[in-house]
Formats: sequence, C-alpha cells, structure tokens
Amino acid sequence: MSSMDISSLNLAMYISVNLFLFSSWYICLYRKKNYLSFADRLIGAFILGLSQIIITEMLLGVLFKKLFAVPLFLVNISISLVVLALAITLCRHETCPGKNKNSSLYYLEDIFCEIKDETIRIFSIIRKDLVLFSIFSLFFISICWLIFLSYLFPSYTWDSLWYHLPSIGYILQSGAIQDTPLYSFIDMVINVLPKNIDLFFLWNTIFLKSDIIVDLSQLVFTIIGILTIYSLALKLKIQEKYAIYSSLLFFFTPVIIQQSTTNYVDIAVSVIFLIAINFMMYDFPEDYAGSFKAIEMKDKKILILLSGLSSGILLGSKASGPLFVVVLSGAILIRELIKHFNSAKITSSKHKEYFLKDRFLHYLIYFFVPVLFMGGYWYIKNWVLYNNPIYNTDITLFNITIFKGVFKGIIDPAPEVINNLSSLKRLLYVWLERVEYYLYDSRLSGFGPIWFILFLPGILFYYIYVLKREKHGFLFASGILIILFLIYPSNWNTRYVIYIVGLGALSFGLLLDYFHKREKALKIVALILALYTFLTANSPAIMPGKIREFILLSPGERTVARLAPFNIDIHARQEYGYWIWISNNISEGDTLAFTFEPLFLSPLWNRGFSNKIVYIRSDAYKEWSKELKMNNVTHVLIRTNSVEDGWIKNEKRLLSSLWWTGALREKFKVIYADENYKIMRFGQ
Amino acid sequence: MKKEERRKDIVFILYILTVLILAVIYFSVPERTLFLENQMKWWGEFWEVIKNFIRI
Repeated sequence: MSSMDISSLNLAMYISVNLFLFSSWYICLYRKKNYLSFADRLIGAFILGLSQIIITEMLLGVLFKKLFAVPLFLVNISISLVVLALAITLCRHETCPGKNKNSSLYYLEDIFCEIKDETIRIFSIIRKDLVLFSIFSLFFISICWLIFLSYLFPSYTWDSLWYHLPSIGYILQSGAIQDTPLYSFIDMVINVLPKNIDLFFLWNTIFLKSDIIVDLSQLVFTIIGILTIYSLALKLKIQEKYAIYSSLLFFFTPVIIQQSTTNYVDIAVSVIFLIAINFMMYDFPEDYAGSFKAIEMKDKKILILLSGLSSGILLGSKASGPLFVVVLSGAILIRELIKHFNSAKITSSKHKEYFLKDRFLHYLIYFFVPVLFMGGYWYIKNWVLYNNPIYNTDITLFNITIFKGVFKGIIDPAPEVINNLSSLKRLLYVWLERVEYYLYDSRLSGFGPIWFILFLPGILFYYIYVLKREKHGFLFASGILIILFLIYPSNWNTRYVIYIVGLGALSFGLLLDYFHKREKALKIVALILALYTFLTANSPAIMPGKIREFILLSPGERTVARLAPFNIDIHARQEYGYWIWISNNISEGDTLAFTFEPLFLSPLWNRGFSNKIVYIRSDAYKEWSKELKMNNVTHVLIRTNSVEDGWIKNEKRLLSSLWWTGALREKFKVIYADENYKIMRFGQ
Repeated sequence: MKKEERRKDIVFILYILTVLILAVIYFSVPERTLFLENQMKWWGEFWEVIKNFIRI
C-alpha cells in the first residue's frame, strides 16, 4: 500500500469512529428530548462521547497495555454499535410497541429533521438582527482562521512541547498508560499529571498517525463552551436572541481565541466546569414549591449522570480538579438542604422520605460514582506510587501538612509587577491588560475589553437587580462560579479562570433581556468591542511572514524549529538543528536514546510519534553500550564534548589504531553534528 | 408599569455611563499605544503578504 493509501485509511478510520461515537450517543439522548433541550443533547453527546474515549483508552492503556489504533478503533466501534442498537430498540418499544421495522427509520428521520429545523431556526434569528449577524460573521471567520492556522502550524506552545505532547508520546510508543522512570523534573510532571484531556489529544493523533490536528483539540471545547453558554442562558429564561449574543461574545475573549489552537487544557477545564453547572441547572429549589415536580425529578437521573461525568472528567483533567469538584459538591449539598427544608413545609411524609433517602442515593450513584470513576484513577495512582494524590505540591489543611509534596504552596508565583499588590488590585491590573500583545499564556492579560467594559459591570448591575427578586437559577450558577473564582489560588491568571467570563456573558445577556427596548446602544458597543478583539487577538508568535513561509513549505517541513516562536526562540535556538534532523530522518521503528535533560521532549519524536525515545545514561561506557543494545536503540543523541562523546571518541581512536578491527568502527556513526549536539547511528 | 420603565431608563443610563467610564480607563492605559502599534504592524505585514499573493 502506498503512503497515500495508508493516510486515506487512517483518515477514514478517524472520521468513521468519531461519527459513530458521537452520533450514537446523540441518538441515544434523543429519547430524552422531553428533559433535554436540543443544545443539551449536543453537549450531552459530547460528554458521553468524551467519557467513552477516556474509558476505552484507560481500559486498553492501563489494564491491557494495548493502546494502539486498531484495538481502540474496534472497541469504540463495538460500543457505539451497541449504544446505537439499544437506543433504536428502546425507542421502537417506547414509540411503536408493535413490530414495525420502519419505526427506527422514522426515528432517525426525526433526528435529522430536528437538527435541520433547529439549525434553520437559529440562523433565521441571527439573520434578522444585523448586529448579531455581524458578530456571528466575525465569529465564523475567526473559527475558519483558527482551523487554517492549526493546520498550517505544528503545536508550538511551551507547555505542549514540555509535557502535554510528551505525555501522549510516551503512551503512543508503549501502548500503555504508565509512569516512566524519573530522570528529570519534567518526567515527574508528566507522571503525576491528571491526563483526561491529554487522552483526548491522543485520540486526535493515534488514528491519523500525525500531530496535524492535535492542536485543534481545544477548539472543540471552545465551540462546546459557546453552546453551553447558550444553553445556560436559555435556562435563565433569556430570550433566544440574547442567549446567542451571550454565547458568541463569550468567544471574543483573547485567551480563548489564542488557546483554541494550543495543546493546553485551560479552555477544556473551564468549559467542562460550565457544562457540569449547566446539567445541574434543571434542578431548582423553587421546583419544590409543588409536590408534583419533586416526583418528576426521579426521572431526571440522566441529568445528574451527565453532570457527574462532566465533573469526573474535570477532576481528571488538571491537578486543581479537586477544587472544582469540592465547590460543585458543596453547591449540590446546599441546594439539597434548601430543597429539603422547602419541601418539608409543603409535602407529605411520603415525599419527605423520598427527599431524605432517594435523593441522597441518586446523587451518590449518578454523581459521585461517575466523578470518582472518570477522574479518581490519577489521584489514587499518585497516592499509591508517591504517597500524595497530587504529588507536586504539599496538601495542607489548617496549616497541618496532610500530604507532603515536592513544592510548598503555589508553584507558579505572580509576576513581579503585581506580586506586591492586594488581590483586588492584582485583578484590576491584569484586567486592564497593560501589555504589548496577547499571548496564549499571558499572565497579565487575556480577558479583553468585552470582559472589562461590558461583562464586569454587567455582573454587578444584574446582581443588584437580582437581589430584590428571587432568581434562583442565576444565583445558583453565579454562586458556584464566584465562589470558585474567589478561592482559586491564582485567580489573577486569566487562563485558569476562563469560566468567570461565562458568568459575565450570561449577566450581559440577562441585562440585554432586561433593557430589551433600549438594546441598540449596548449591541453596537458589543459589536465594536468584538471587532476590536477580532482585529487585535493576533499572536506575535505567528506573524504573517511566517504564514506565507509555511504555506510554501511542504507539510513535513512545517516544524516548530522553522516556526521559531519568539517566546521559545531564545531558549531553543541551539536545539533547532537536531529537531529538524529528527523530524526529517527518524522514522517508524527507530529508537532514539538521549543522554541529557533536553529543553523539550516533544521534538525528539517525529510528527507521527511513530519512533520511540528512551533516556539512557550510565557511569561506565560498557554498561551504557549494553543498555543501548538492550533497548534496541537505533540512534543516540548526545551533547558535544559530553562524557559519552569522550567515550565514543576514545573508542574510535583505539579502533583506528587497530587496523584489523575496521569493521567495528561503525558502531557509533555520526550522522548529525552541530556545535552542541551529535546524533549517531548505533550499530548493534 | 410606567414607574418600572422609568426605573429601567435610570438603570440603563447608569450602565451606559459605567461602560463609557470603563472604556475610557481601559483604552487610556499607557501600554495601549504600544499594543495598538504592534497590532498595526501585524496587519501591515498581513496586507503585504496578501498583496504578494495577489501578484503571484
């Protein structure tokens, strides 16, 4: 088979598995259309699909150590077929109890019709409002632009190269999700990292055998985030037009635009948090003013399950995941207590019994079990292996250290310019964006003018309005978001708290709805600020000259070394030579040994992650050479004038003096050399 | 009803005033000039690239 055929086959595999996976869950959720809105079914299908991806990868990677493309494809296709068959069978039983085979076709037709009708309806709302249409057009152009940039450039951002991509590289080369031996600081970070989102990055690499779209992974979360804000807005009873305003304006946050094409996890974390809140929003205390609704809640297990799955994915996505889960659990507990006291006043003893026993059991089974199931593994593993569930930081409670970590307190201190400011002043400084450009991990900017000028006063004004009225939905959602924001250790760092922009977007939507007739001025201000963000959210790491240069390069030549992003260039300049050589010459089946702690591990793999890398160092030449053989090493990367370089030179000198051993001279053949590094072919 | 509408008018004016004040504060920080200059440079370079592509 030619390489073109293989690429087409890989692409077909990737498209078909995704199509089956997400559509089967959507079809399954269609049965619940009485409880779940159209947007919620789309979000729910995404969460169920993502959960399936994570579970199947964990199953194959942790238990069977066979996490390769074909087994992963077969397992997921099988699960999706079962889900599809179950959904259609159950639907046939529910809608047409007889044996009418055509009912499944009608069911599928219904689904397609609904998707078509909803899309047409939403577009007609957008089309009717010129300002909304303009904002949507800016959004659409931005999405197309981001897809183009992701396709053109490799994943070039700091943390992607440092630990997110290496963590998937190690899994891809071994087919196992396991800890690697600790040789350096970064190995420790990779080992203890909760990897749920990294497993999604892996999903976008393993079938294609290329990293070409891996940097688009977070864009999926951005789009789902927009849908979530829209869904939340509708639950807060905002008119649909204003709900669309809220959701689109959420996108015009520079840190979201810039991070959408990176392998960071911040958008994913904030969006999943918003999704978890979204699925909790069906269950308000005021519903318990009447006893009928209380009984109806029994049928809404699916909502608690979706919220639980989202919270579980969140728990396993970042080391700060437990904080999110604690706040969400606290919110559930408080709401349940309020409900209990509300219902106690009005309902019969039978209902009271339901509230006390069944509701607790429902949350235990459908919320806390999925939370632990989806995210608990990473913490339990760290606890067993390193005696600390989070490992890299101390865990203290009331100044008592419960788990000892590598670092005390926050690893990432505030920049000097804001270090001595009070918490409030720090926030204002960052929100004023006193910077020269936006960057995906800028610590002093990222929320943009829409946040500071429209959303921030929007939250304040709507809170004043709401305090006089009982708007439980808004108070519940905003309460969770604000409490987490206040207790989050580095809340000045915009990328860690993207979710708070969601609150701003919702408040602004509510204000638009409230002002209604006077909307025009606000809409125009929103459009101007969206246009400003659209024009200024460009990264200096990707200059137009580079875009032109990369369009003219062949796909294989589009590497990080050729991009030379300004923020890593100073540190990485001397590494570019061997990075380019590796991407051009190291192929599937090759094993590259390295003997030092490189700046980034990621460039030691080729773009398909099809070679293996291994750290091999020793105090003695013989032992080192033996280990290279044992690991089937084909190439060795060393520092020029390092101990290993000395050993190899000595051996060469010795062998060249013994002319009859000429055949042995090729054991280490230098095939790449620059001032600082050498790559040698290792002949066994 | 009229009272409610009048109250809405006042809240609206207050909100718009707050938005204007915050806009002035946001856009008048000293770094904004440099920020805009950098963006102008980006778009200038972008325009050159587009012109070159059209010429090709």
